[in-house]
Amino acid sequence: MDLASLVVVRVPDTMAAARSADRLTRSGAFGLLIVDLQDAAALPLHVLARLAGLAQHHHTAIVFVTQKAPGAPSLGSLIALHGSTTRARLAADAFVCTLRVGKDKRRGPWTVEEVCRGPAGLR
Amino acid sequence: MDRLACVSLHAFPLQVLLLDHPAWRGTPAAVLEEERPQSPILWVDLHARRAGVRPGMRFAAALALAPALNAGCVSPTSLAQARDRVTGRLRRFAPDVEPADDPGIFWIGLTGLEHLYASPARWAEAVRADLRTLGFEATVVIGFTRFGTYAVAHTTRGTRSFREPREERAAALEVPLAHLALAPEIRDILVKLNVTTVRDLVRLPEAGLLERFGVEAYRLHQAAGESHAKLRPAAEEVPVRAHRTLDEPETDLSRCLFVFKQMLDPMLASLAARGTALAALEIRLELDRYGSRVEQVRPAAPTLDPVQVLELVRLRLEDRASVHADDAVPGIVEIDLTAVAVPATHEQLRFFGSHPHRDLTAGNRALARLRAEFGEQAVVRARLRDGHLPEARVTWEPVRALTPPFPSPGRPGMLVRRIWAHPEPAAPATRQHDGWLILGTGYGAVEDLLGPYIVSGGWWIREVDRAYHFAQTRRGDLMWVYHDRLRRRWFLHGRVE
Repeated sequence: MDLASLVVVRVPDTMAAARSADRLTRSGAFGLLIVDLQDAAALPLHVLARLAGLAQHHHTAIVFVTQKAPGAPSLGSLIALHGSTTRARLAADAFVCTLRVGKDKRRGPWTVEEVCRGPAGLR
Repeated sequence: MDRLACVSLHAFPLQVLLLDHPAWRGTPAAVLEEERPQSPILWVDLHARRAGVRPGMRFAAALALAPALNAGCVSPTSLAQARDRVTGRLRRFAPDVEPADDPGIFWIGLTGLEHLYASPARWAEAVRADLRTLGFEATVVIGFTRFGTYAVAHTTRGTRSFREPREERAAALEVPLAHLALAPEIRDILVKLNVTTVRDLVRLPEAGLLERFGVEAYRLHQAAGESHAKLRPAAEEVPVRAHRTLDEPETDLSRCLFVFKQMLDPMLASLAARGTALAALEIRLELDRYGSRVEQVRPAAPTLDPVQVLELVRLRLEDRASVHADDAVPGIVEIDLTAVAVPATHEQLRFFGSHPHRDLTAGNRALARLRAEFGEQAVVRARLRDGHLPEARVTWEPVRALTPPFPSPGRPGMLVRRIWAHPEPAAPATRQHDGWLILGTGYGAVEDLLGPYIVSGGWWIREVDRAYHFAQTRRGDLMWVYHDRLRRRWFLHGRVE
């Protein structure tokens, strides 16, 4: 990843994050926006509808990252793809990372697994 | 527990090859990796096997044993087309069909079918009979888990149905590893260790299996251990079609081409949205008083360019008009277009008109608005710098203008240690760290503490002496913590994600 081109926008709350995402998507300059909502995982439907329309129009992927209990629903029905991640340690330096997508409006459910190594010091 | 079926088309590439060359049936036949004398043989039929030909042999060596051996390659495209054909056929029997990565294996959800068929065995026989009309010989096993049915299908011919999950599990555990998709070199080592069946394999610790035999053996072990996994049915691909009924029979070629263009543009947009390109266009023309006529135009290479396709359509329609040169040209009253799609290349999709140009100036204007609203420090980028303490190695600097990215090839499959800007005090450790609830009760006690990694210095300003550890909680969270030896306290400084 080229860190110099990775712009981070730091805002105080969820609605400010949604407003920022709106402005950035509307510019049409970005192909991918990641909105880190942490555990404040709720956005009004009209906000989601506007972001979905903008994302479609400008060919931008907007990814909302949330922390939820397993099996918790997605932010709303306008979310096109909803998945959850898990990680399990297999060996001293081997982890299996799983992305389970329970809802994908294009393909239906799917799962992908990757065996990863740990950071330096965890071996 | 929901029931499912595994449909196994044994030696699928060989079956596809024999479908392409029906005259080879009843003769020694083999599938090659490449069409050259030194190519290894991948699959052999019964006649070739009787002549002593085995998978893994060179084609030239096999010819010495069986001079009448017929052999050929099966391209990935042919395999994918055959797989799609079978998937479509199986959807006639149940809506949820999941093609496996292993070619020739399909799982089918049977929920709700009990009212349609007298028994699972009848259903299985109907599936086999239908696939036989396509030219494929299949084995159908009805059970409860993907792996259980898959494993048993490799040692069964015909159909088999399990009444209880226990019964299926017992049968799957007895399947020899030699029948499953496992690299021969791994299988040979396992045989030397007297690990010959699935039962022997699942007894091994999966972590050790991953370390010694790699991901393939690990995945097989993991699949064998599954109790019940939901099906992941493939979404049905609806062909891209367009239909137009004309008000009056149309005889003018130019006007017809305009209609074609109006129909073709949205079709190409749909294909591009699916990541596919047009390999051929099937045209059905309903002619005034002359019945219907079916045509197909095929560009030199799959394309998303409407000009190329329209040119071919024009030539085909001109040719049709010339046939009727002496008579009145029959007018077209209806047009049906169906696209034959294949996966598009990245270049084809990139140059397709629907992908917008990214305007960095517009992006800069949007960032300027965010800075005005949230402050100068709201829009930043991370910059690595030299520093002794972990938190000093990254700094945030304001972004004045966007720059195009130049990513370097990343290291695959590496977890990230997220470092927090400000370490947070952690719960005090217990003696010997037994039952230490570093994150609270919801995360469980610390089970493993890896370290220490000492960071010390700074005596010339403010002395630092930290002993860093990775702490794994019972829930599986991996925290990066340190013990401040001067303050005699534990701090949370990050987590592995």
